Amino acid sequence: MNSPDLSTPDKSQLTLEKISLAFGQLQALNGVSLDLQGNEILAIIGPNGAGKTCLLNCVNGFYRPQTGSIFFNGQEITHSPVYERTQLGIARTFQNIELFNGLTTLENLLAARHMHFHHGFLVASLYFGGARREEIRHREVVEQIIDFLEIKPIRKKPVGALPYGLRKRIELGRALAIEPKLLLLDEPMSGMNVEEKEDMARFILDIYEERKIPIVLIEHDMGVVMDIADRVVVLDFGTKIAEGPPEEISRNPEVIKAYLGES
Amino acid sequence: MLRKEEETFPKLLFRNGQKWPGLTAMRKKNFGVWKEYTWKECLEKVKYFSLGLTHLGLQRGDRVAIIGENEPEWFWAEFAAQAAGGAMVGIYTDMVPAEVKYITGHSDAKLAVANDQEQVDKFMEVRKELPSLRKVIYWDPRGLRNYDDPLLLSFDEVGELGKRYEASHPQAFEENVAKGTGEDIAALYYTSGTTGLPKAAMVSHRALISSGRAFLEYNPASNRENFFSYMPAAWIGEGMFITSSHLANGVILNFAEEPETIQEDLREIAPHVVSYGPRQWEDLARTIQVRMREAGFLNRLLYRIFLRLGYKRAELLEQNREPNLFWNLLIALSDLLVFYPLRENFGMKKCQIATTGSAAMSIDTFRFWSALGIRLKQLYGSTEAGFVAGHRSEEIRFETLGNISSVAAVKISEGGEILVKGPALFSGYHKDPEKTAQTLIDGWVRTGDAGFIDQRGHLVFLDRLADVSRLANGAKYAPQYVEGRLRFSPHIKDAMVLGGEKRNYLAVIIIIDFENVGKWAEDHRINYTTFADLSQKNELSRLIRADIDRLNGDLPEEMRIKKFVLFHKEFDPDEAELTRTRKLRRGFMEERYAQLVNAIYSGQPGVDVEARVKYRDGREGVVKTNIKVWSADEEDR
Repeated sequence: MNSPDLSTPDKSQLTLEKISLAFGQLQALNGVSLDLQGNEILAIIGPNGAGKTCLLNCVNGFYRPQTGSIFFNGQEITHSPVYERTQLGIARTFQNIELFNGLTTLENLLAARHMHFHHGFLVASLYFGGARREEIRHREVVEQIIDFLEIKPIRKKPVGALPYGLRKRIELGRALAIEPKLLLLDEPMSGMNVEEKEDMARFILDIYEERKIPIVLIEHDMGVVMDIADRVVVLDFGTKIAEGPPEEISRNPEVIKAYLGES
Repeated sequence: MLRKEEETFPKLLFRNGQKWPGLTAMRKKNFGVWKEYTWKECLEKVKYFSLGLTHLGLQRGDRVAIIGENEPEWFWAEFAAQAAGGAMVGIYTDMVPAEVKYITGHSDAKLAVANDQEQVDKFMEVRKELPSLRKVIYWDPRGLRNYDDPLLLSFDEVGELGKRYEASHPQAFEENVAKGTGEDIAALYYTSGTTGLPKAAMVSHRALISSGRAFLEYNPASNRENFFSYMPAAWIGEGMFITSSHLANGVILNFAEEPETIQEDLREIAPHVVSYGPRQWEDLARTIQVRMREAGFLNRLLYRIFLRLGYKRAELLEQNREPNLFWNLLIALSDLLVFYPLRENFGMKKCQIATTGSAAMSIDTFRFWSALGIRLKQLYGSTEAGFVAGHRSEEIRFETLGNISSVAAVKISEGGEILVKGPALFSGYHKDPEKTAQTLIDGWVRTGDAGFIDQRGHLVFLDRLADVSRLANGAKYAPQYVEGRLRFSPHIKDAMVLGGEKRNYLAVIIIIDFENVGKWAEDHRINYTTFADLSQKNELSRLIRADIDRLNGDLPEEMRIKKFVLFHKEFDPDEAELTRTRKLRRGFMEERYAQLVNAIYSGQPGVDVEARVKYRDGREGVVKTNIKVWSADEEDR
């Protein structure tokens, strides 16, 4: 089978310019700027409540920053609705798994392809002509993801009954089904055991290397961050306090202070 | 005798490619869809891969090691190696690098074919110790993108080499195939002995095809039928039954997507033949029972009702009785409502032939499957002896291994061992003439199994030869076999055979099945109070004697049971009569009940047995029972 081209030939670029977000008196993000240069894995770290998830939510459109702007591939998306950003190729996973529990793995992944369906309800229901070809193509894309993530044995199992580690993997699969140009992963390894973490780290690296999709990920496990991230951004109380390659970050006294507390 | 143009695997493949170019030969699930390969495609794959192997230096008589899951490439590689005049050496997927090294080194394989990164890594780890290994060919490139090593080649690259080779050597493939003879070694099968390093049995095309043809005589299948290939291809069972049927009759081979998806894929394919080992049949039976227990009320009720009907069917079949119209209707109804959906769920919708291996399986499991409409047939054979015996569909008797196959001649040695001769025998152990001489004597293969041929010509397996006991007069007997056979009776829960080197005949201590026998007693208006009381009833001795008579009729003279007692209680692990895993502690029992044993062999009519009983409140009491000794061939005294 010839694989449909899932990689993004052009370099994706995400730029955040001094974005600030406040909930009432609570300043969640305070003038954070960030630049994702083409192909890299960028890790965002920081203590609880530092604003990491808020930052991702601003990028994919769940939150709108009060000031500052966000550009994706040269286009301003600060005020675009979520679905438009998805169409531009921004996909994300969630800290707490958000799947359709009653649907199977396959159906969950196919559902994520809805924006790539071009036929109307009627034609698609009749499963006729172009609609049929289209559906087969979507199934192919999804099957490649299933193969890639090694979830073939659970293809037809309802997601709700599956173990946590697998559901996390399916969520990653759903993000891939969008054929993203940028992946946002919110704690992809939280709550996993060592083996599951290793598997997930390998998948993330494979996505990055084989599909050339840049990745922004939030992760608490510093070991993982050191292993897979090209660059690290550190947030503390809504402010960016450091940025750089992992080795440098791990030696940064300010980061150690924010992360480990003053000793 | 095999026809010359059908005497090797590659020749059969070549014939099938010409005869049925457009028919499906193999089917494998890929990306969730069943992908079909026609005979023509398979032949082509094999052709170019074979020429590629020749190009890489494979010569006649060389060996190619293969390791991986059962997938089309496994078999293409096997046929390709054989077409080039080589032999296949299968390695089990779960073997560690040290074992891979041993087999590859011992077989002098120059080329290896490996499934994926996991298997390739095993060769990479031991490559320094395998100086004669020239190339490792992989068919699944996943995870190998960062490997850059002159040792590695992909399956497709070898095919390309083959195409180029053909340009300069037209007709080379056809000539290579034509050169092969049935006596050529097709494969080396490594069998792990209980001691020492594995032995490599050299098996010829003639042996594999002979076994396959004999298998098909008992279990007919054509090129429209589906087999599911999931037994390890490094094991001869897959080679002589499945692969051989595939090539000889064109049976379609189906492969699972992943080892984890076998059950699901099996259901989709619904193969013609389902083969499991006894343990797997037992596990599946248990799975069904557990699932039914968890099922909804209505399903559970239907299952309970119809399972009884199923058992009635099993009983009729066992007694070789044709059910009358009434039963036939009920059985058809139970199939429609319960058993057909149940069978479908477990991939046995179209299963015409269900086989099990030669190890013993509990009678309950046999009956259970029979009740569900699946009649399990034995297949008995070995790497060295090929296909020896199996059941014909019309002659299934679960206590035997079945009829002796058309390619085997069987005789029982003086020591009681099953000896086999015929075209399906192996050709000796690779590099081990000493072991070969021990196993192959005057053209007969020693199986190491004790057995006999019964009156209906069925081969019966007793035990491993090493586990057979001897009587004072030198006669051999297999205690576990006799006990197992006695347990087939619904009236007998357990049994212990007495004999040994100081005695001249067999006697048996029998534990009745209190529940079944109690019901029987009620039906026949026999009053009883306790287990001990019931066990000593004269009527009961007649019932059990009939069971023993039936068994004695099947046994050779020296193994017949002469006397029996019906024990007054069950064997009890708490009293150390059984181990915790419920195995009989023979020595202990003979000592503990020495009085009873003496009574049996000294011709006394009965004996008082005292048993200490511990009551719930901690007090101890003594229960006295008179146990009668019965003779097996005499009517009531």
